[in-house]
Amino acid sequence: MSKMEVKNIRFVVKRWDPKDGRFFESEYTVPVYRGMTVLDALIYIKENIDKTLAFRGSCRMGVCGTCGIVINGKPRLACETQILHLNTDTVYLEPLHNLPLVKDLIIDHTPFFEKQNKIKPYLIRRDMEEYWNPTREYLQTPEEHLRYMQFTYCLTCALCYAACPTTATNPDFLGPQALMNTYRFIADSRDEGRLERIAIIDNPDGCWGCHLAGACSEVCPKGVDPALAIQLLRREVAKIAFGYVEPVEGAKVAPSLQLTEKRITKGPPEFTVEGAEEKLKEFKIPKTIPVEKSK
Amino acid sequence: MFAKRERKYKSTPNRLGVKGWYGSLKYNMEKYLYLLHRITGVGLAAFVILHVILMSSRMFGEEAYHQIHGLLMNPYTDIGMVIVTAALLFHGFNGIRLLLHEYGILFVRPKRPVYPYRVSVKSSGVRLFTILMIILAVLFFIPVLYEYIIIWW
Repeated sequence: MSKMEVKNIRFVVKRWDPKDGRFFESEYTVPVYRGMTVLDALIYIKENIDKTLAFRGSCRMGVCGTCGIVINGKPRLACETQILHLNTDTVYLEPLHNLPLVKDLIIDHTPFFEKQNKIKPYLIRRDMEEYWNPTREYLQTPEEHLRYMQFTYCLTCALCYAACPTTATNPDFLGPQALMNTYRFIADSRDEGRLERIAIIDNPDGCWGCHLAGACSEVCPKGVDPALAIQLLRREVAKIAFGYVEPVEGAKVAPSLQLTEKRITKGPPEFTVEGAEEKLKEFKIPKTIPVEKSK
Repeated sequence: MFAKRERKYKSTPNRLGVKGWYGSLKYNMEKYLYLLHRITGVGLAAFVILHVILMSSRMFGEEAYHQIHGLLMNPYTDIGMVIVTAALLFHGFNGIRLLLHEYGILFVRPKRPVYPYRVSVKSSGVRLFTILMIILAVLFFIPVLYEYIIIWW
């Protein structure tokens, strides 16, 4: 299909009516061109067919995570799903499952964020003076960073929450995102609140509610892999349950700027390779490379 | 005996409930194993309860026990036993897989996510072990099926 060719695709949208408290369906036919996303189609419907259709979307490039909806039975980001890649003549759209509804395709993220806040998604430190009045950054090696880096890519789009079969039957289950975030902070070398967080998630509504269906990782648009984080989190919880508690000392604060300045004022290190000076003379290599001046 | 759990979050009209277990047919293999594990678990629990009830007929005398077992001597019970054996084998081997995987064993280390993303449950070690467990369940089931076929013959 060339760029300008258009194919008519039928969109069936499952909408929530907050006044009557019921679902109803609306059908629209949208001319689809190559590269057109579901979010583009929703904007087209809103502008040209039905102005009452409510949906959410912002960045249009898979960064903000607000346009998450269920497309043909699977939670996806509307802005990252190309319609022609779905290979169907009819596209079914629904609001994200397992979350309270606001209107049409819009859902309320409140329980999702409340659960995320439960696990204290911030660094917990014992050095309170440094914590509230920071002087420098905490030191961390690239290897230490890689231990949790994958999990920081989360958009909080709630696709994993909508796909999780445990969340579908247990409204109190923390959900893949909150559990993944717990491991993200436990694995962070700067954090000292491991036991505090484990006390929150070590229950059937926490990490033991997961039964490894892997649906959360399957739908994640950023490759964050919450299933992996939850299994690694359970390993940490099991270690503590068996009495294998490693002493955790958070990363140290970087040396003060004053020291760094002193180091810079020392100048470059001395030329210490033996015989190098003679070699330079022998090959007539100048110590400084002359710069050609433009005419 | 069981304290009633009070739910903090109310259910919404959009909650999938049990439908969330089977729902869409576009997920990874592990989601279907999860569903099958639940079904076989419930089935095996029901079988154990039924088994205990039938065995307890011995309390009412030898005659009552033989009478009930006489009723069970039919091909439908045999088919039921084949299904129970299959469920037991699947539940057992899948249980071993879950025991190992749920503690992160065979899982890859967290890495920098690079498109196209490859999730950990689909990584070679985890997937191979999953397939191995299914193959083992099938291999163990073959002699059971063979035994029953000979009995029927």
